[in-house]
Amino acid sequence: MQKNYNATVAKIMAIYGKRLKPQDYTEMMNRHNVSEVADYLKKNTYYSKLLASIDTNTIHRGLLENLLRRSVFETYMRITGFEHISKQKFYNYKIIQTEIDEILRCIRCINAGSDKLIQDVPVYINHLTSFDLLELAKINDFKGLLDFLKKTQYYSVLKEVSLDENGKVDVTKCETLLRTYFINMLRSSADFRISDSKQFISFLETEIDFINIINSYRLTAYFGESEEEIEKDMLTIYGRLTAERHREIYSAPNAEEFIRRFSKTYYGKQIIKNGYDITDLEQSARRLRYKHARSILRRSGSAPLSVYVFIFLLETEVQNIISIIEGIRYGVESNKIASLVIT
Amino acid sequence: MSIEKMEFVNISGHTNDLNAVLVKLSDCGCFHIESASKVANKKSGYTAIKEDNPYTPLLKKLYEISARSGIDFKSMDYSDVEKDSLPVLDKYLTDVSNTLDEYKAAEKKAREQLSIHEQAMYQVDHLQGITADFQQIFHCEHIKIRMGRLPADSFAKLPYYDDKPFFFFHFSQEQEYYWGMYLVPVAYLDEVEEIFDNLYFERTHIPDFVHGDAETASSELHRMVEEDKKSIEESVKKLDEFMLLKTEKLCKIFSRLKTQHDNFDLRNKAVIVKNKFHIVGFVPRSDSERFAGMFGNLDSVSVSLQHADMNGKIPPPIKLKNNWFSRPFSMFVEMYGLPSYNSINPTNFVAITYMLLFGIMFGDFGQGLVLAIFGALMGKLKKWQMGPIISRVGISGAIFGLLYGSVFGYEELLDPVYEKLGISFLPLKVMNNVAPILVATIALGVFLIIISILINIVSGIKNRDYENALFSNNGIAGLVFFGSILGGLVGTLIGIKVFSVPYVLLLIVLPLIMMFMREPLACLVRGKKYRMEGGVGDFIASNFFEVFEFLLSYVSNSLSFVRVGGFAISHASMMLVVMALAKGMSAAASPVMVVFGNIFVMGIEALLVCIQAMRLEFYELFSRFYSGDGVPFTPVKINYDETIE
Repeated sequence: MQKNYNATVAKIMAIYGKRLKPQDYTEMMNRHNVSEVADYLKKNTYYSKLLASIDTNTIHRGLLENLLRRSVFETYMRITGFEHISKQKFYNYKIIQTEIDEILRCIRCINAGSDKLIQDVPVYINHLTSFDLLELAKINDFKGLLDFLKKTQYYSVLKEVSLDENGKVDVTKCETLLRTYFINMLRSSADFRISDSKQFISFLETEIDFINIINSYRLTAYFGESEEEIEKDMLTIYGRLTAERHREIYSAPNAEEFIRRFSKTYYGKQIIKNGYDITDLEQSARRLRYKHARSILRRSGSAPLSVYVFIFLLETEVQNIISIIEGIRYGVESNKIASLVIT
Repeated sequence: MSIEKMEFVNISGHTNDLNAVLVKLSDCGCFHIESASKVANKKSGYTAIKEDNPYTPLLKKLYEISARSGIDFKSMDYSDVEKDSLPVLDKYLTDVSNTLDEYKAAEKKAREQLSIHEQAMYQVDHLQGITADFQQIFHCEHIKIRMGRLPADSFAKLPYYDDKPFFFFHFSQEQEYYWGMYLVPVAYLDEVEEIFDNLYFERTHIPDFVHGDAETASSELHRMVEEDKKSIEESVKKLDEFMLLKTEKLCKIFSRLKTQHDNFDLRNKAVIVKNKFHIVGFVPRSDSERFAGMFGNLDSVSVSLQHADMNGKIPPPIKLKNNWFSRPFSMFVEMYGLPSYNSINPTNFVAITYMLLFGIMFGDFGQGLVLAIFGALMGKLKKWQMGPIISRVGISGAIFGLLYGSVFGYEELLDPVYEKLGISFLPLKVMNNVAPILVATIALGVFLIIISILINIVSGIKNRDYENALFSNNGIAGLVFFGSILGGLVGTLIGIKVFSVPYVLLLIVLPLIMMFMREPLACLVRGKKYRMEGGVGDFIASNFFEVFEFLLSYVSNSLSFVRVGGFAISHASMMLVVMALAKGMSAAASPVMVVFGNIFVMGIEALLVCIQAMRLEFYELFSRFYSGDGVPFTPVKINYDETIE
């Protein structure tokens, strides 16, 4: 049982109060290029401090995106450092999540034979990770990766993964294993008050269910894979939807049937009730989770729960900005960009 | 004390005299113009004037000059430029505008130069470690050098490229960036440039005019920046001198054009019938004689006057007539909306009740006087609209302070005075009389509500609004019902049995039925047939709930006045706390506490009491008799402050 960290919750609410509002997104969507968006963020939002030394006229899109991602991490450090709670096991989740993301990026680069991993490595976190991210970026084969991870917690997770006949790593399997490991770690470390714990597990379960649903939808709609093939690549942990319910959805012969079956589940009904587009499953799932997170943040007085959902909301905000930047860069119509922004 | 009586004016004359008439109308300051097409008879074949204003383009040019030069135009005697034709004025304005353009262009050029030099200076200042000549560095044959800045995150990634053929030297660090340069053999230039592109390296292009090493180049650039600044100052100075010479004439042209422009706009309000124009509007009755005599020198022009309410098509505008005492309170009345022409001007009622309510809530002799002086000074010196109101309510607060025996929170200071005068029932100490004060304020509220209902009855009868005057909750039916209930309750309290069967049937049930049936009854009085919309069920349901709401409002509005007593008690309590705190302090700190405590209580209570009194006026009283749908009287005049679209 953990003690209350009310000051941390208050701090979160204070930072949350400065979040971008729908009119900020509208203003950004009306800009013509990345510089103008950066300029808007610098002059009109709480990102002004982050962008203070940046020349918005010359800023590169990639740099801006990296800075925004870094700001999420810095905020995370700020709020967990406020009452020195960062040393507690649960609050290490962000580091582990980043490490897993970097390992997966490394595996994808190995498969693609690319050396571009270094470009987006979050070096600002390097002093906190259990392995050197710059060294990870140098790895170019899976065996080398396993050797590199030997002294870390990830080795036991990945050691059973083998290469296929083309010498490629099964990324989906790696992802399934690592995500399962991460979720189990979160579940075991979430030892807070029962009511808070219930809310946390409920939020986490939604995340688990949606990972499976979205991945299986992709496999059904774009690759036409069978139920057995799909199930093999899915997380073996389940949330609100039972394993049977999952299997029933996986067995859908096509995308339309998949959506029809999904629409009868709790999540499907919620998506329809909220007026989201159920055929755009990924966006609707994100919207639903965003709404859920906001509701938890408003009602919860628990520090770990607030930290977790707040960071999720912050990441969504950054993703919104990135969607706008990319939309503007590729000349996407503003109503299309607006449909990607989650508020 | 009432609403200024108006005369409806119809001016007609030959179209040749139209402009002269419009000039006189805007000069007189007492004519409220209306669109003549509102009253014109369609069969007369009138045409409304729709012309583009010829003064608009020149005025726009003037506003543009004003915006670019920063000069604010003022109204001036323009007889010097009155005879100049529009093309002559246009040419003058174009010349001024062109010269302004030249000065502005010179200034812009100087600013651009400054920007380039400052940018180069900023860059070179970050490369202070370079001791070689920039030009020599850039002309190396086998090695290429790129200068610029690297994000701090990317700088941390440089060890990853240890095996690549380049060196990066940094000279300074600034928040998120490392300033420096990388050296690369010409043969590897493309590869290394790609690496640095991926690391978001921002290359700095040192301009050709930069020579020498970093230190020499920096001092040379500093000199250039200073020269640019001087050059900008000179350009601005020249522009100011030029505009100074032109300002007077421009103001004259502006005054003439704005006058003619606004007068011309008034033409759109007139109508033309067979070479004759017609203009209609309103003039206060007190000015009507002077107004009618204004057009004596224009033979074709005739002016006809009639009582404002004789004209049924346009509601007369409202000009409130108030005495010196109540005039400041007209601000509150206007805030709510002006009364209609035939209704009652409530300003006196507001002045008296507002002062009364404020005084009861803010009763302190000393604080009231301070507030009165403060309000008077602010009104006099700062022309603050609330000033005179504050001074009046301050006096009211002082009077009630005398009754309460409170002076700056000292509750016993006046006791000897009253003793000497032999007045035994004073002072009326608030904290010792909490219950009587609360009951008395509710009684005051009931009294004010009854007055409001009476005003509504008089106003309704005056406007022949019988439904409102006779049968509404604020009419005679409502008054009888409310009065009878109160009379019955008071009678019961003092031991008289009032609620007999005839009393209840005639004075309570019958008014309730009248309120319930107010719409059909009003039709009956007017001799019109009542048409029930939506059926009997709908009629019963909607009137039942409305009457229920009326009953609730009698109770809630009356009880709302308990706040008056509440604030009187809170004022006394806050001062009690101040005095208690002061008592517990040292001899030196105690007076400071008393002074600051008084200032604090005075500030916070004055604000709260002002708001509460206004709330009672608007919600509990105005809502019973006042609609606020009058049109303000706005005489035509040339508005020099207003810009044009």
